[in-house]
Amino acid sequence: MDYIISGLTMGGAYALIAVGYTMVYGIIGLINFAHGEIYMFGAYFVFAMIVETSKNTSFLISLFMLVIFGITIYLFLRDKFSPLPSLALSLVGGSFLSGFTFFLFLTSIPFYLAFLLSMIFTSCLGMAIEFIAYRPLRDAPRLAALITAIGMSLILQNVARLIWGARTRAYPDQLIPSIIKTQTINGEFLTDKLLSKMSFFELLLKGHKIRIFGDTYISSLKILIILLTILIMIILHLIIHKTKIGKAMRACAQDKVTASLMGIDTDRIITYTFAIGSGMGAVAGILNGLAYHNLSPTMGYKAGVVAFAAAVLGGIGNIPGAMVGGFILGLAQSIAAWIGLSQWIYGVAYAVMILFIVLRPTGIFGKATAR
Amino acid sequence: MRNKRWLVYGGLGLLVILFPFSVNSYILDVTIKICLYMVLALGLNIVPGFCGLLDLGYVGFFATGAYTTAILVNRYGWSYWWVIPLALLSGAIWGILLGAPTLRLTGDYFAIVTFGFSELVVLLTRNWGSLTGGARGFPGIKPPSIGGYKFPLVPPIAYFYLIVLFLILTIFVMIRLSDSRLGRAWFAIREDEVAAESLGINIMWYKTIAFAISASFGGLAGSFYATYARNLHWTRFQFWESIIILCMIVLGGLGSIKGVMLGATILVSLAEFLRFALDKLSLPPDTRYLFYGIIMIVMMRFRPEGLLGTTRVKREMHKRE
Amino acid sequence: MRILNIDRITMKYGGLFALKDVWFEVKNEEIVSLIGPNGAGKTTLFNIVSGIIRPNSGRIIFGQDGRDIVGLKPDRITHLGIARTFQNIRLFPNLTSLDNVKIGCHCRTKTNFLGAILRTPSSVEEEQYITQVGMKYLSFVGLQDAKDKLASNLSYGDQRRLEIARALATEPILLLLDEPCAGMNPAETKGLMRLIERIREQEITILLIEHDMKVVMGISDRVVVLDYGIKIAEGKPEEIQKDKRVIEAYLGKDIDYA
Repeated sequence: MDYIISGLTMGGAYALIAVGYTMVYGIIGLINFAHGEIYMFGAYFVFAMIVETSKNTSFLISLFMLVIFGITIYLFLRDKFSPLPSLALSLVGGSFLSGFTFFLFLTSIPFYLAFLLSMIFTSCLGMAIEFIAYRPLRDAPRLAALITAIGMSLILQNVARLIWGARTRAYPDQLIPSIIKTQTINGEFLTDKLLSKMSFFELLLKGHKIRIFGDTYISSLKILIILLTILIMIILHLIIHKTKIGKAMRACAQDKVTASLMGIDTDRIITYTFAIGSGMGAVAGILNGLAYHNLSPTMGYKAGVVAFAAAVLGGIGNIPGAMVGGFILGLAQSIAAWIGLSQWIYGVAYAVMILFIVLRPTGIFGKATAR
Repeated sequence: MRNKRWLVYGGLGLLVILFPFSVNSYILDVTIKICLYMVLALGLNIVPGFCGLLDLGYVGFFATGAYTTAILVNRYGWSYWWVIPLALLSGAIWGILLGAPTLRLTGDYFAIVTFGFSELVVLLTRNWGSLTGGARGFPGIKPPSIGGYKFPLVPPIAYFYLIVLFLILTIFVMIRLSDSRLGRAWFAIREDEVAAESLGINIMWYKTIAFAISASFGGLAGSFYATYARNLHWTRFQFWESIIILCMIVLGGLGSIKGVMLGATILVSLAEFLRFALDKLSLPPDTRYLFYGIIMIVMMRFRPEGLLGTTRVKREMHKRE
Repeated sequence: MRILNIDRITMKYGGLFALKDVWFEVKNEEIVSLIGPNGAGKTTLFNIVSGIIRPNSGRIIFGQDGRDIVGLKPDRITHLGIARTFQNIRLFPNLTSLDNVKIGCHCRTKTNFLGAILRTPSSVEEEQYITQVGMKYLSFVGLQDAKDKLASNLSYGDQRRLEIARALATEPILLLLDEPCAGMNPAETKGLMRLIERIREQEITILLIEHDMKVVMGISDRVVVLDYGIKIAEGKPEEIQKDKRVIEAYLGKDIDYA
């Protein structure tokens, strides 16, 4: 049972990342290798905000943010003003914002706020990456774009390594608000008597292990993470199917040229796609950080690969497919761990991915989106 | 004219023979590394450079060659000289096994499968302890010997001659291939698959050959690495190694033999320099990848044909149909 | 003697028929033109004959032994003796003209990779042969002086002719030309008509898609007219010019002859 829940938690994270891959692939036909790194940054931003970071490190992060914010602001101002003033404005705006983040990082702020800000920061990161690295190569051959994506991934991974060092970090337990704490009160599970008096949701929110049957307990944190993942997916679904932006995105994924003829600003839509994908990646990173207390510069690469496998599994370009694929791979990995193949859990993902690509490149749903 | 050419070759040969005696062991070691990476990069170059396909799992073949050598030499007492053709062959076989089912897919999928393959190889070398030494690595690989003469590690003069020999072989094969019916078929595939097919070129077949030849050079380099390094560790064969080799090609010029060699020289030297520099700055040594990332992006953006790229790659990399 | 028999070819995209039960024959050393308004399915038919796409139903019988080539891969079909050019020129833009034509020789030569590496006498000989053949076809289309130019640096008309030379180098029995005169000035068009006639003198059968009616009426032995994926007429040029349905198909939709 615990394995299944772990699998679903992990799977949720994979699903959220996989959606980012699949959205980007669907719209510009590029495997965004840097997407795993965005997930990693999402986790690290929260880390930097909820703990008190040293002056030096805060300065480094803010410097990085200055670049990111500057590019993002420039990206939006560019249409309205001529290059020079918008460059100046974005410099000013970027410095202002990154100066503000300096204090955010220096002090510690509540988790919720950090969560939200991290999503915004990573969205900016995603948009900035697209603008400086991918957009100039949109008409270049695939090889060039893929190499650029790999280069971007290397850069981001090592910026994180420069800022936070190579060692593993963890979110501090006491700084996470009580509702999502994993510990039980006094280290003991609640008795049946107490349990019966509390509703499921109370239990969930109080952060206890929840007893399913017999001696089986699950951590409420993991359940919360799974629920949150599903909630975010529903929101995404609504964005894509009910809003104007979503409609434009789907149009662009079908045919960019026609979409632009219909008056859709495809560049803008691609920017939004990166923003949304990156935001979801950040959520995955943060939830994963909560669940596994394990942050490292290479986490993005590892999870990114599995998530990509999930996207392939679901049929690349297919958003619900990516979600399902994520959960399947998460489960497959924890089952592998359960039967004693814990050294091979990544191997499972690679093997599944290769088999699917070779035997059924359109994914489990067989939608003909594969190119 | 002809005599002059032989004079040049003779002079170069003399230089190569004298070179190891005129430098210290550190320089010699770095030179050997450069030659090794030249072999690797030239081998990889066939796939993205000649055929226009992205191969992200090249290091998998490097690893297969290295571990095959280590196991055959140490466990089964084979002579290293017999292992070399086998390393070439094993690379080719793996290349065909992996290439045949995947090369009919588009480039992106192919890239991902090669990546998955190389990571599986890494997992295998790490987890299959009884065969590969597992996470501890494979220590004490016996050096090759000629007659009774065992290759000494300090100074690695004999190794230098060996890798130069491999390098010459590689360059020779590359030049011959690129100027042949085979090479033209590859270029045709790179430039326009539909047109190539309509001219009677069996795309699958030629891509598979390219991949297999490329893989066998990876295997060759691996077999050298095993005897030179004397011990193997799985961390040496991770994905990033493939990326470094790719980066060499990108820097020097996709498809250009001279360019690829220049790229290997620059990046190996850069890695040596960074090792000292990052240590001085007390930064993690892995941060050197930051520079590789920057090189890749900057090259793709501003000079996708590479430092020594020919105009033809230039035009191709600048515009897609 | 018939060389190509298009037998009830049907191609559907979704519910739309790109081609519906199209059938006609091409006889040895004929020049047959395929005409019809834009979107009539001419290029689709070419893609089917050359194996790039597969029809929903129908057969294509090619050659003396009457083999059905539907389902064969494009490179196999080229080996059997069908070569083609493309409507939007598909040269290898970054290779020289000579190399482009040399690649055309690919399917009639056989040096493998060992031969290439070792430069065996037979492979050296073959390489010389390829260069010779390449030059032969370059001069055949009048591009011998441009042999070292990159294909992308040639003028538009020269690119068209280079593509024809490249197709000829595969030594075809049947040559498919997709709008060879598109975008050419009258002088170039005249030159190309001569070229097509010279190709026929090499005992090569030609199936041609063309919009320029002067060309079609000037060199074709027979004309096949498609409209909305259906064959509406077939016959000698003079007959086609008078055919009511053809005139309707063209004039009824205000499409002029150029």
